[in-house]
Amino acid sequence: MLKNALRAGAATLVILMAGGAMASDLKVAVQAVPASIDPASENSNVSLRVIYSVYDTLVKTDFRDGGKLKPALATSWTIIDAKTVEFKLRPNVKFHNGETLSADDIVATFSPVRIGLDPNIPVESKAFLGGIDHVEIVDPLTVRIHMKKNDAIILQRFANFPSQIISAAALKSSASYQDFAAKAIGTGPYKLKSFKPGDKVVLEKFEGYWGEPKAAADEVTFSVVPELSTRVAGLVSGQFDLITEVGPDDIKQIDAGKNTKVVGGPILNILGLFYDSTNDVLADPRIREALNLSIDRVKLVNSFYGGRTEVPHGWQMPSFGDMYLADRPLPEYNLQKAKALLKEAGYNGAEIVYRTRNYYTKQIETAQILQSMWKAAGLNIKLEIKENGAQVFADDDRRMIVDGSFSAYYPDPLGQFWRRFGQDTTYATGKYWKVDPDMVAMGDELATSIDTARRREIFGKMLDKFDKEPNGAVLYDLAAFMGERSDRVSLKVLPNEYLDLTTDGLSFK
Amino acid sequence: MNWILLRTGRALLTLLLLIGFSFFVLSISGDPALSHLSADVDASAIDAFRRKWGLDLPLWQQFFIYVRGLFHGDFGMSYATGRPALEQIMAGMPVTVSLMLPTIFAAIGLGLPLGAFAAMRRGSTADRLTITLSVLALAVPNFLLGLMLMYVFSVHLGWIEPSGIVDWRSYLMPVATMALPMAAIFARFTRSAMLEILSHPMLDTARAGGLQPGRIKRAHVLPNIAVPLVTITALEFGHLFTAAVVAESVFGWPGTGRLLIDSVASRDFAVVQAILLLTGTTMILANLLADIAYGAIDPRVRDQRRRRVKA
Repeated sequence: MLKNALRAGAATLVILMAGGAMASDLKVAVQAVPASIDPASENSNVSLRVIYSVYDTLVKTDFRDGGKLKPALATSWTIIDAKTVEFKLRPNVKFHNGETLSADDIVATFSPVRIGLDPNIPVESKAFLGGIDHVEIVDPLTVRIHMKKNDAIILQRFANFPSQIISAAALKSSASYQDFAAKAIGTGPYKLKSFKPGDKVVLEKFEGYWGEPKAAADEVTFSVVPELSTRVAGLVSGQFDLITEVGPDDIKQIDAGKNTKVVGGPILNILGLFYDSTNDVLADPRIREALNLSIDRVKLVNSFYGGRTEVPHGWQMPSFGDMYLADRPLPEYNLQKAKALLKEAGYNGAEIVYRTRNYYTKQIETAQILQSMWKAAGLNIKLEIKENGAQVFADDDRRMIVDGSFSAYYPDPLGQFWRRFGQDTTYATGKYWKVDPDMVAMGDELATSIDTARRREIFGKMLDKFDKEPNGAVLYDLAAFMGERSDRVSLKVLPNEYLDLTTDGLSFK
Repeated sequence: MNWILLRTGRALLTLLLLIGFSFFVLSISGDPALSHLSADVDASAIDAFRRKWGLDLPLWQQFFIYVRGLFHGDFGMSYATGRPALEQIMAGMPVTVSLMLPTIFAAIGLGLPLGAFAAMRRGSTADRLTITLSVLALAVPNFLLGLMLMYVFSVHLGWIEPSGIVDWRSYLMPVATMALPMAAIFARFTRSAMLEILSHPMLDTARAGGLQPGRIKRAHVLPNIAVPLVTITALEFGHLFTAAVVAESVFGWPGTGRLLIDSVASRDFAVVQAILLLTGTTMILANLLADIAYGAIDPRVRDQRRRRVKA
């Protein structure tokens, strides 16, 4: 009798324990997992989704509070001058490897190998952090970061990707940078449990996490399910709690489900075009302006997204705060003006190649509609659909129009517009165009001035000049949608590709 | 002996062509640095990537280094993970093989009896139904079949988890997706091979000699259809891997087939080449085994080869 009771009790306990564990385990189906969980090594939406839970920055951008900068691994900071910022580090912060945060970790995070200054280690951080001159240790919990020149967004640089702080001990003890990257040692609310490239990333709650809010789940599994239909089936059947990269065409089906719904919307990223103005046909700015004037962006947004995303007011986003020029109009759609410009430029129907690929949501469909909009203006556009980015961006005679995303890594024109169209960017150095000297001068002032009113004025002038001599076109705000198993979890999305899996962003039902 | 040498030589030549062809075609199809790094990277990162993986060397030199490595069992490193390509492939191989084996058994186990059954009842409703079903199974693309199964068994009925390997039931849909079109091929092939034998005059002789129908089938019909069936089985090995590529992608299985898709997309050369080499070798071995099996199954082939060697 007693034996049976004990047995039943044990069984109940096991069931309860299993039930308890399962209740806060999160299963996420993703289209891909990153090749590396080192912030400096990979810049992709799949990487951002994971690293947000594993690492912290010195300063935190609170996307739920208008992008305000708040203390994180640094408890306070002082902008000493436009080239120097000092951070007081939070004491007793533990890394996932048990080490305690100190100034050495900040030095290691922004060491040459991690900011793209080692010619043998390919990392993706130089465009963001290459302006760092050196990190000075004032005391074990105080660092001073010196930039090479005045930096208008000096604090933003340490509040966003790829400034996530890594462990100096992990870097030092690794045989190679690749080995270090595989360890993924941060101070974030989750630590890496296992990682199988191309298949799975498993995170587990880090009990020693210093801050609030804590991890919401005991364990999070990101499983690769490349097919969207399979991800949707997995959500409907209950195999997954969340699925990523839901297309606008699937929203209706998921929302119609009893236990499933779609969350998400516009993110801090614009889908846009690049014009290779070194090409003979596109060398005339009037033809490029005509291309821009012929695009009915509102129609694009309404037909693809049914109003779930928006057309931005030029190369900017409301998240820019003080730097957002709210009174700027929407990009102009004026077919007559476009036709007149083409006539004035003596456009003779020469073929203009538009190279694209199937990477962003509705990318090919957008290209096809653009082609017909341009045709209405009298432009002869040849659409070439390529397999990968390397083929789209290949530097040859047929590179004329290509498309891409313009993510606002910093809530400032330097993090979006000038990051793409500046004179030191991949595109300028990749010979898409030569940046006009006036524009370069304005860009330099925008990057180094700390006078907000003056920066707003310059930014406005830069956008005006760009409208007349465009090297690209704004299309619409990219949107990111996720499917949620609403009977089990509730997710509060962020306006970007990060995934907040703390108790602020995720709750279990 | 000469025959085996000839076949082995031909197999090696095929492999060599495969290595060269895949190496050069992949090399001109896209720059791995641009595929692995994002559009935001600095030109110095692209240079660092090329230097790290020897992509800054002339193509012929890269090929030479690659082939020299092969002779030492080194298939190169994956650009994506920095791990040996072979290690990555071997990690996914058990998954792929665990799909391929049940598939081939299911395809033969289903297709052969169905084909034989249809041939025995030529012109009947059962025969027509078999043919119609096999045409249908062949005509529906694998990925569509997979999605249809998923819709019925996962979404509608909720019996099976649609993605990955959860338990034994996870095998049902991918194996069915791969095996059904293949079973259709076996069924159609068996049927036509059997019909050909059944109309052969030797069967009249056997019947006239008083042999029972069952004995006729065992002693005369089945051995005669064995040779074409072995041929088709060997050929189907190639299709088997292609089907695994589709099934693994649709059902989210972490096998070598999906690895191939990912590696081609990201221009992870070493991984793609190693997979092509391994599948190529498997195909060649399967065909070699089929050739050897002909001799064992068919005395005429055996005698012919002996005569050729003597001459």
